[in-house]
Amino acid sequence: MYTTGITRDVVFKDGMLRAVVEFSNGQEVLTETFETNQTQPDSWLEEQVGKKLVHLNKMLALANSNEIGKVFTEEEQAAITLKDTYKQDLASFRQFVSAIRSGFTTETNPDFIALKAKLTTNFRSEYLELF
Amino acid sequence: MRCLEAGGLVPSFTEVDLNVSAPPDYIPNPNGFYQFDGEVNSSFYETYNGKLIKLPIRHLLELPQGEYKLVLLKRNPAEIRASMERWTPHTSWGQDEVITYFYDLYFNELIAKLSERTDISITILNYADIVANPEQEFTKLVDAGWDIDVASASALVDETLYRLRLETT
Repeated sequence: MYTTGITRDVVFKDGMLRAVVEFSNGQEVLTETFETNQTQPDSWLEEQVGKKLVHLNKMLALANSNEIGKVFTEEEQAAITLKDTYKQDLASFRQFVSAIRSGFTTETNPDFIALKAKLTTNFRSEYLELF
Repeated sequence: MRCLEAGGLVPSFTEVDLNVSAPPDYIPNPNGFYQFDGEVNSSFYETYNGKLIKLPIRHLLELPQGEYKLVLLKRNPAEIRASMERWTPHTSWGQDEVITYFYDLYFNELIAKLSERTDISITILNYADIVANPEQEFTKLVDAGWDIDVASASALVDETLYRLRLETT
């Protein structure tokens, strides 16, 4: 598990703030440079390091899981593709809903109606979790 | 929620000052919102066992193993959206609002999914039916094993609070 984020260098040059941070899991050390050219809160670097630690440990857990190396059947792959498509359509629908509420379009928009029909037709019980 | 509380159940919720958080043209329910800000996580059951909790329906799939009595309160989805619009004008409620567009589809699949669990008993009530005939509807809960006093619960149903009733055909 990655637990340490040691800041090795912080430089402000050419309008860019760069912080070099080392991460380690006790065996391996990796270095990442965080950059910004915008005003940030005092906790900016701490937050970036914290997010990176979360990512590293989630990737480490994934690498150690049984899913890695699994060979999907054509049927399983097709199901994954369909689910991904549904997820993307649902995200588009959510943007439509937001646009409707903002007054940019209405529920009578043909694209909105078509997308709603598509999501209704393609719905499967295993997609409940996508909502 | 208020009716069930009057009927003898003990709710757990976060106090919301509706007069501060509601927009000026929104008339909040003067009797409270019973908003639950806790998390539905692995300790949910032991933390809230015996309490009455109001949850958005999409969180029901996250309920950890326990022993639940669930009442699913259905309402005209257009009325739900109208209420959302009044509460937060021009701002979407995200997935909670998306679900209203697939209301029956989502509800039916959710019920099927929850019915597979042996630790959840489900009673479905309709908001409009409760307003129209509270004693009959709350009796359904008693029949399902809810320990409530129907008369006390029914006495608090206030039809004047059903303000976003839409005409249905």
